[in-house]
Amino acid sequence: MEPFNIVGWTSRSVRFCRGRTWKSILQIPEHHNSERTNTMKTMLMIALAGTLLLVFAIPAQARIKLTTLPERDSVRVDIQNGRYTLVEEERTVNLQASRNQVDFSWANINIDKESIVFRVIKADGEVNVLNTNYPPNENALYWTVSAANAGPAVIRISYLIGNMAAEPSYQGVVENDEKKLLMQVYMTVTNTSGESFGEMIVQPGVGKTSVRYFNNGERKRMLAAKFADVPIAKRYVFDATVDQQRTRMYYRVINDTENQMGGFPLPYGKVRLFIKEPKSDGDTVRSQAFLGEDWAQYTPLFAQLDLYVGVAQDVKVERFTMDPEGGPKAAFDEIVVPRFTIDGKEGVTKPQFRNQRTRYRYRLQNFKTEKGDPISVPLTIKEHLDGEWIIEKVVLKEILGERNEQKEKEIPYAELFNAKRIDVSNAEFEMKLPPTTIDKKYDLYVTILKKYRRY
Amino acid sequence: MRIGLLAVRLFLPWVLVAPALAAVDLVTLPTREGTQLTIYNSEDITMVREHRLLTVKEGVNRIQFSWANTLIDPTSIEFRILDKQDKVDLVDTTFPSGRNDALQWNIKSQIAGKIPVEIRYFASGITWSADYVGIANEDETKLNVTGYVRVTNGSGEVYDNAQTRLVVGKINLVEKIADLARRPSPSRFPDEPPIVYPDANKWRELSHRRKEKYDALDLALGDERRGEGKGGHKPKEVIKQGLSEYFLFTIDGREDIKDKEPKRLVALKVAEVPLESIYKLTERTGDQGFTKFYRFKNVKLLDEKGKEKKLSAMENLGLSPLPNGMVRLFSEYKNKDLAYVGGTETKYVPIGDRVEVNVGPDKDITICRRLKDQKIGNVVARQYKRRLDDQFVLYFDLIDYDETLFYEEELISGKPVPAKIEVERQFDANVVLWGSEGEPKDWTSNEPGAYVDLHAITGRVERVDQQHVKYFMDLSPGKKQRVEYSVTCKRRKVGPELNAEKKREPL
Repeated sequence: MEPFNIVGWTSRSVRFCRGRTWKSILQIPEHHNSERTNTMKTMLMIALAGTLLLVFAIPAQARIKLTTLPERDSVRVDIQNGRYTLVEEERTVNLQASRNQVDFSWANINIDKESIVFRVIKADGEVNVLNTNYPPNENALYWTVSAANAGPAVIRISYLIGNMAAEPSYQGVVENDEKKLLMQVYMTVTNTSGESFGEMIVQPGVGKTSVRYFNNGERKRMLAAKFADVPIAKRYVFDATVDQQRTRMYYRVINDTENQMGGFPLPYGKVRLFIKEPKSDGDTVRSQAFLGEDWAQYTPLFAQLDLYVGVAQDVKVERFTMDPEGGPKAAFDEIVVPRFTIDGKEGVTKPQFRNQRTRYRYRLQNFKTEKGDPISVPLTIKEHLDGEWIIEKVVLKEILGERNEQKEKEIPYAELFNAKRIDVSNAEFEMKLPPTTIDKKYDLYVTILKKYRRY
Repeated sequence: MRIGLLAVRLFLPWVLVAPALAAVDLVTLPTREGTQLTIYNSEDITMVREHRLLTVKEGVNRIQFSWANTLIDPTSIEFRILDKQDKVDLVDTTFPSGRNDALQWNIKSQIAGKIPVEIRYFASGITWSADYVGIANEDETKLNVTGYVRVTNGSGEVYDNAQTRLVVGKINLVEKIADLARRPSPSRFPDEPPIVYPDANKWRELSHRRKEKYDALDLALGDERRGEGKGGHKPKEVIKQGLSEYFLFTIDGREDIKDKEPKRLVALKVAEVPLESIYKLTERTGDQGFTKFYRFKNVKLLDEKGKEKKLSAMENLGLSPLPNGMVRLFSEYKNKDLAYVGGTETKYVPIGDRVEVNVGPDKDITICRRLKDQKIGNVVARQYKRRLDDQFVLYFDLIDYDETLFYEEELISGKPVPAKIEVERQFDANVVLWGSEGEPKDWTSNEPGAYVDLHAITGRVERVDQQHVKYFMDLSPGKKQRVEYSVTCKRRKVGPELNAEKKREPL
């Protein structure tokens, strides 16, 4: 919607005021009751009559070949910069040969006066901006423009405004088999700039959308991008520092073209995930269920995005801290280093360092089923370590039976277990956890040797 | 309905003050054709799906959607065109200034006529919970389990004739729906006062009035409309279906989910589930006596020959997880009288896992723990004097000593049948255990720790973690059984405790 423009009159020129509605200029509050509406209408009429009288009664002070700004031909609003919004508007002005003055003023909108750029896009003959003038104490400026020939010229005015913001959000629709998803990126643009825009193009950081109107105070939600058939990896993660009781289920997507994404770095925003339900004959439209939501961190190209969907209650992990094998004596390794004295003697000394050995026991149970059949799940156990460390020993035991009949036996773990060093502070134990029952479960023992601890 | 019909009244002022939009047709939403509620119990969130038949004209149509006195997250509202998507397109969604209880959709249509649409949103205030009633037979070997689901609507909105689905599982929600619904929308002007919503009492009053209205309507229409006319004497079936990490319980047919009127339905009715009683004592919780637990497995029931019984999903276990909820347990005598055994909250139980319900303290099994003897040995200390202010102060250097405690635990079961017990003991040092697997290699180590000798016990002994040890026993009725064990606490580098008061003597 093109904003209401009102012709004002000043001692210097005729100009267009931007960004004010009739009501805001006349300072009529917006109330919907009839009494106030009548008051508003009366005031509006008086103001209109007064304005018209002024227009005809007061002669304009001369500005040579004054040109007023006509209606906008097109508007583009660019919100890609987080702090400022760039508005570019194109208008066609009728210039006369020689010097022209083009006025530009605004109200109720926070325009950075220094940022206003005036450019001539198309004109018959040479057109030059001779100078820009800033009248004191006014939200206005005017350009002195010289034109070689008289005629229409397309000009573009660019400026920065405040109080417009774009907030990204995502919606993922996961296929029923949880192998792929449709990721839709939405941008919600809030316009509290003070200006009501008509037909315009919005570039909110992702995508580009044409809207018919954008009034002040409104928010618009626009579909900015869509990625179909994005492969997802399902992960079950146990991290005792986050939750000692529960295992969490994550979806992992990778922001690259191989994985049907990679169009742009994904901005920070909320992701809501839905899953398609199994198709049934009675359904006209396939139903969906809400799976969960998470904040998507800023994800550069080629980076992975992990989304916490919900608790995996069928995958149980219990973590216990145990003494290392070999008992309390094996908990520490005393460090002995050679000692050389000035007089050439050699000996040994015990510095304030020692290796600390910690053994964790993870009781693992997997009751996950798919179509009624038990299935293996990819489980990741996270441990947060510190400093120099190595994984010294891994033992996987199968626990059969219960109570007095319980038996345990060590089983090979090479095909089931993989230890990954993420960085100096983080280790991940990846495991393909087979299905378990009440009478069959697994105990995973991991011994970690932390080196050179000061004590 | 409250949602949608309000559109006409609420949006009228916009129509008057927006002259530039005069060419655009303003369409109000027709009534719901169908409603589906998907209710979550882990969070206050309900996904509502409404199907409506929308009449559109060729060109751009503005569809208005508004609500009042109910908490809907405006950012969650989705509009889907279900048919003729190639000719009808959603251009954008607009949230009007200063309001968070309304929005508009701009739709571009190449055709005139009716199109089916779906409106989906998240609402707050509707919850569901599960609860169970278990009736055990007299000798506590079989249990009849009835599971219920209870839907409570406190949203302020009436959802009549709605398909109702319940989600079992814990979803991740990063913002509360009620908070999002109450979040003020951006104002047109910075000093514009925020919209004041009716307070909770007003809402209750409004919803009560609406309830009366719908009750009257309900009476007029009768049960036929709710699908209870045919075979209404039978309880409705709850269909269970796995979905990712969750389970979806769909209540058969349609339900009227009225405001402030909880509805309870049978979700499970299983007879003669094999039951086991376990008695536990753990020092983690500081218990002095035993606590009784009922145990049964969430697996398909077997007949006498060990084959799976042919039962419907409502009458069998092991086909869906059991959601967390309150359990009330009764014991049935032969004359059909009931005795209340106890009530407790139970956790979520996956398919194939065991259900363990805390029945409460049991006084029939007693335990008496006696400290029979103690001794201190291997004391290593160094005494020395230091001069301080012309006086000697007696110091003791770091002290090592071993303190051995000899315990006897006397267990008596007053139960008429053998009782399975578990006793978990806690020690204040890292445990070195001599259990049923033989003497450990480090038993004679000089390192600090609690050296627990439980090898004389007949049952299995398990080291739970660094400081906990558990033993298992089966107690015969009326028989006294003793457990003897010792704990040697090897204390090392203890501070100068023998002269804590730092006595001084003159030079």
